[in-house]
Amino acid sequence: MAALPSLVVLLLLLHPAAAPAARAPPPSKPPPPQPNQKVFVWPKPTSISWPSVVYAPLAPSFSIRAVPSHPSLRHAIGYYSRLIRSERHMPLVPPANYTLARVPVRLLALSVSDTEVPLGPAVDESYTLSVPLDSASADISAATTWGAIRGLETFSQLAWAGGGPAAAGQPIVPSGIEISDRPHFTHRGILLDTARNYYPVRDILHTIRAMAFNKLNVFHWHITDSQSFPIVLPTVPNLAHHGSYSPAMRYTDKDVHRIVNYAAAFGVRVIPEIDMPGHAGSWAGAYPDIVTCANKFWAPTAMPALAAEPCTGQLNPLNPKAYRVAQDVLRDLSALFPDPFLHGGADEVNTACWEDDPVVRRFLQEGGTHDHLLELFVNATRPFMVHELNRTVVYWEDVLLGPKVMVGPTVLPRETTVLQTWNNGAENTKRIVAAGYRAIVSSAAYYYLDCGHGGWVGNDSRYDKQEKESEGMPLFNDPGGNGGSWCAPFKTWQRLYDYDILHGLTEEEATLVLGGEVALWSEQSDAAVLDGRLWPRAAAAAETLWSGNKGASGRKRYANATDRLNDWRHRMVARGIRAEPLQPLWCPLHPGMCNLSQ
Amino acid sequence: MRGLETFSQLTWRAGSTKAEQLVVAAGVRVEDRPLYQHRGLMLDTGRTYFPVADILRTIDAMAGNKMNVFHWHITDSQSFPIELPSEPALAEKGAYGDDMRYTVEDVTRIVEFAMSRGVRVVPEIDAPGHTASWAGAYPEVVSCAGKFWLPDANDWGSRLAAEPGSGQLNPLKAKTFEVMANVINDVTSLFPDGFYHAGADEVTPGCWQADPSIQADIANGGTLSQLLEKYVRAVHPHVVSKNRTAVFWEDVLLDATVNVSASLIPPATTILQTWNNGSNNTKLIVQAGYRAIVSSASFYYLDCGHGDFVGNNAVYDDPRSDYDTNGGSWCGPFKTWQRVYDYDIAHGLTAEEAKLVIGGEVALWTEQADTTVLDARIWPRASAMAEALWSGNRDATGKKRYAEATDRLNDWRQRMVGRGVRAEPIQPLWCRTRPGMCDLVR
Repeated sequence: MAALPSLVVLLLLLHPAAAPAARAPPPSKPPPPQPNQKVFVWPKPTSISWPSVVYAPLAPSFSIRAVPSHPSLRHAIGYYSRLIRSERHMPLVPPANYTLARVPVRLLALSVSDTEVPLGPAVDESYTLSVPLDSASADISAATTWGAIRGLETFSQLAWAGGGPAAAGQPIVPSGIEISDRPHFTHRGILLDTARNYYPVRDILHTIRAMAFNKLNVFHWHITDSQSFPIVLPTVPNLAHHGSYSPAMRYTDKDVHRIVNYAAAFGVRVIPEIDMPGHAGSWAGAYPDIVTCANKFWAPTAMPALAAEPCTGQLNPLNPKAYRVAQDVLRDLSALFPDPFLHGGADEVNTACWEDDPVVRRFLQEGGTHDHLLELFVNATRPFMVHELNRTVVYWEDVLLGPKVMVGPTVLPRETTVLQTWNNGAENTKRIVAAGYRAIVSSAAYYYLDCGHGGWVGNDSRYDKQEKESEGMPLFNDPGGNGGSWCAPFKTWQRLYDYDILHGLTEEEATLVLGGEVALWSEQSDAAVLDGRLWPRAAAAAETLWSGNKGASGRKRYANATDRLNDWRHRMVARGIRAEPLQPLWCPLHPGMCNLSQ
Repeated sequence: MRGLETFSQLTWRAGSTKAEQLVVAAGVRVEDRPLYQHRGLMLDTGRTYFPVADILRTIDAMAGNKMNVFHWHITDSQSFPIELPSEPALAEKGAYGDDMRYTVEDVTRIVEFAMSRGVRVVPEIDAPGHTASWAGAYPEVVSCAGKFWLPDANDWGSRLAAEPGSGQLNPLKAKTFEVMANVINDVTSLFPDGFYHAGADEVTPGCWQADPSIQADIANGGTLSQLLEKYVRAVHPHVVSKNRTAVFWEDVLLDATVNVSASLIPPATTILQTWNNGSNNTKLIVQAGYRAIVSSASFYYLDCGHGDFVGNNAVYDDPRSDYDTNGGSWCGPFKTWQRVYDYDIAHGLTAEEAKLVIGGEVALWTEQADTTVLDARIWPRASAMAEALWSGNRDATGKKRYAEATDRLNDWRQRMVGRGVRAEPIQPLWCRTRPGMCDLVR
């Protein structure tokens, strides 16, 4: 026991940056209960001050103006004007006992300090919002256009259909409220895989809109994979012509422009990923000679599998033509996508697939290694992306951490490389930042939205078990078994919400974590089910990455978040997002009654 | 009607986009009949309300899959959405809202539409458990209503209900049977089907034990099973008097703590629906001489494997991996279509016993589903059961045909989507055009 204080001192010496937080003594008593503010904003803002429960109606002539006006805000102002004027949100449990101010709000004035800051990594998204008591105008001020857009979203969520006859059918907003808000993490994203299954452009636009509702700011577009190559690239159009599912299932350059511009108008970056050298079976339609093991059965009997899942094919690092094509792809991609980040994939490189090629086999017989092959590939593509295309390269962690095929850090200069983690939870995040790399966290155990949906591979006799699984045998179909999903169980919103992406990191290491991305791999999803797979679970991560998952007392706030998320899901559905329900409606109507502990 | 459905599926669009035409297989002769007479889907509209349009679309999709029983789990503890002419207060006080009620016209429309598609509608009013929603209208007949469901999170035995929303009809109150009689009268006049589902699952000891009148009864030597017997002794004959066969969940006979003597539920007028212990309980039911409807949770529960919906649950706040757990779902993992397809509902039965299995039902309990996701929760997994119960899950050689079914189900799912049902995909589109390439074993 006596050793404890000296341990604390030691920690303070080692990490002086942690001192301010550590100085505050732990509260001996629970903090006084917060007044029930009834402010429904998701993700919850960092700071809200609203001393008395007064609402003001919006005037029928309500408008939003930027002073001075700026073209980059034009779309957002138009969008939010329409939304705020037409939306009539009624909370599941509407606030009661409030005062209605007499002066309606006629104007929401935006002021932006620097309208020239481009959308990109680490952009300042902070804003302050105020609706002064008895004033006809409200204000949002932000350092950048992108912060102003976040403020507009907050304002839209403040409005609801209360006030009764006195509000004359106009939405009302809290009056005398001050909000000061900024995100914990600058990178808050969704990965969508459009290669296993295709999604029409309108589904992507719709998803980006829902992201903006949740203040998410990165759409990581996993465009291609072994199953299909849906993007039409001007220099190498044959990739899509032979690699897409059909002419109707291709993204043209017009589609891409539309998506990128639409996203930018909502302050959402689009990071394109062309996964390579693995996951490239779809390239073989146009260029069969640069792809190894293409079109083979993925799991031959008594041999190592040729791919992590059905559909094989990897770019051949020993074929110079592979690099000509890859560079054409990357050049076209950088012309279509302005974001400074370019995702180069590099996950799950399969040794057996390369070994299927005679040239590769000879290379290995002559003393070459798989790691050497990957290094060849990285060296022929990465410097091109960095120097010719001026991009920061994002790779999946596999490129450094393996486990089977990897390259050394010298091949991956830290200042131009970001690594995205998906295995081993917090452990791999730690390995990445400890090695000095910036990290994006997509731990499958928390952030993979496709998990827990069973297996999709056919002819699987494991399901054909009529009896209860016997004790001592590995579970599969019975409770505790994964039912065929490698990353089961299903990640509930609470699981996502509770994840601390900085878990186990030092203060110094934590600065290297840019943020997180939830991921939807699409083996078992397409347009029919997209919304329900993404929402509201992505919203849970969105709040944690924006303002954290803890209350003022430092305790995890998942219980409090339940009712708020129920309401937010209800609002998203009204906004046209088919988010799945968290609970029976009975639960939000009886707050606290559906908890595990009272 | 089944033949018409088959003919509709024999047609497809052939030719180029310009010269497209509908073609149908020629020189074909189909002979067809179902293995099981009862091929159903259970939908719970008590946890969550579904608009009438969703129910009609679901029934239409059922007919597309030659399913013939829509088991409508109408009420539960969370809501009482059906307007009953003799007991209007139940919906007035027990539905989620004015716009979340099924009127008499709605019910008639659903029953008639289902009839026109060859689908029976079996209504279920779950009681005496799962009845908290009755307390709005009749607080005096519901025990433990309005109480927190799990007084001690570390003691499952202390629960007042199997999940949030506690309340059970109290068989010691005469009013209980007055209301129940009206309910049965109304429901049997609204629903013409020969089956009436009376529920009787998960009677929870803690709820009855929380009621002072029942405490007194127990103090006088009464037992919970006697209470249930009192209830069944009144309800079963009333259902039979309406010329109905009474369907109960298996619990009424097989629950370890609260159950009734078989003599109160004569096999001639009783069917039991199984959901626990897979084929073991089916066997217990048919050995006791009852006809069985099979809804084993480990095969046929479509809501399983989606985590838990209960809030304030610290189990998710664990930095370690959760791979080894069920993620909060009591009946995890998720049941894939292959799992549903492979189930032999007569497994382990003698030929004689097997005759008592009238069929099966997939079930969607709706703690985590509403109109936004309904189609995908049901389809195409219900289609997998539909085929297994219609023509079986084996090929001519007697081998399970799940591998061959994969490609057919991919195609059928796509056709269902074309027909307006948002069924979920079972594989990447890549697999559909490359038969066998997405198998586990070639």
